[in-house]
Amino acid sequence: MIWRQGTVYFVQWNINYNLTKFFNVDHARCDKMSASNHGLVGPSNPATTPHPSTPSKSRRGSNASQGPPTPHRDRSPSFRTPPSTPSRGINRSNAPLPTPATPRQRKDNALLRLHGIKTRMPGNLSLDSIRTRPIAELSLLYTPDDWQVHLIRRIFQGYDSIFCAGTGYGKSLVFEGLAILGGAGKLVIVISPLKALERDQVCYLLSNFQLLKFYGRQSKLWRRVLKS
Amino acid sequence: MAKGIEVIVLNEDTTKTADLWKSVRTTAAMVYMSPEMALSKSFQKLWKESQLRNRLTAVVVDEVHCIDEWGDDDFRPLYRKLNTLRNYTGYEIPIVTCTATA
Repeated sequence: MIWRQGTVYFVQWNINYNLTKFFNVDHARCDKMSASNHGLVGPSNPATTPHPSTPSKSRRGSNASQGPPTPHRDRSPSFRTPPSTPSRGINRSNAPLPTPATPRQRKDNALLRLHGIKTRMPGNLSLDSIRTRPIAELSLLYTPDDWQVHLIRRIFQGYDSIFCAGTGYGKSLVFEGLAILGGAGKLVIVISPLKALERDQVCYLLSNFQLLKFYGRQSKLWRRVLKS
Repeated sequence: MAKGIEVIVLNEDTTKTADLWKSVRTTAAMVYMSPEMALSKSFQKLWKESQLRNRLTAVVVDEVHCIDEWGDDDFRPLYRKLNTLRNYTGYEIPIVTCTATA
């Protein structure tokens, strides 16, 4: 242990020394100041003298060279108590060492957690913004219902869902809302059974210019069907 | 009627265009497709790309009653195999299903 402590001091002093050198600190002045703080005269305080090689010697030396002032009363703390072991990074000097009786840190039981459920939503996804942003972007003539807004929010939280709604109740608004509110670079994949259904919904979503491009992509057959 | 969503349909009519796949991978906001396309070999490559999976907000299955009614033996058997999509999406990407006929 002694050997280890010795090496630790060595390292610490080296660091002190290098730091003071780096910041252009006047060593002699520093020593004087610290000595006057401790009630000593002369550059003899081992806590501040950057002398890495022989800590114990310098201590003894300082004791001896303290001629006049206070032979019986050492006011420098380093004489009475050895400096504590420097802590690594975070100051854990007060924390007790772990014993076999110490309770372990626990994580949540993974089996009890819901997989994939996000507890933190992005800040811009309040219920109000979920309600209003699709109106602006899809130029809707009505406001989305409560069930749609809450469902979109739940889906963003990561919940899987099944919902049944009659024709014209706004099922497709839910996934259009998902696409709009998801943000830039996000994608919603819709799996639908019929080409005609896909086409209807896309035609609803695209602007006229995009529609032209869209039909340009289609086969000749579709174009003929659409003309007629 | 200008709407700012990039929508793409993937079916046999449109898959021949080359930049379509690229835009599915990078920019598109909504992609409509059939279950056959979603489980096809070419799209399975896409499912395995992390770039696409990071972009995914949700997978929506429209008209899910088809799984029950059409997924039997002959007509559209791949409807019954849509559950394999869970292997690609994991728990992070929600799967939403909807129907009007239940």
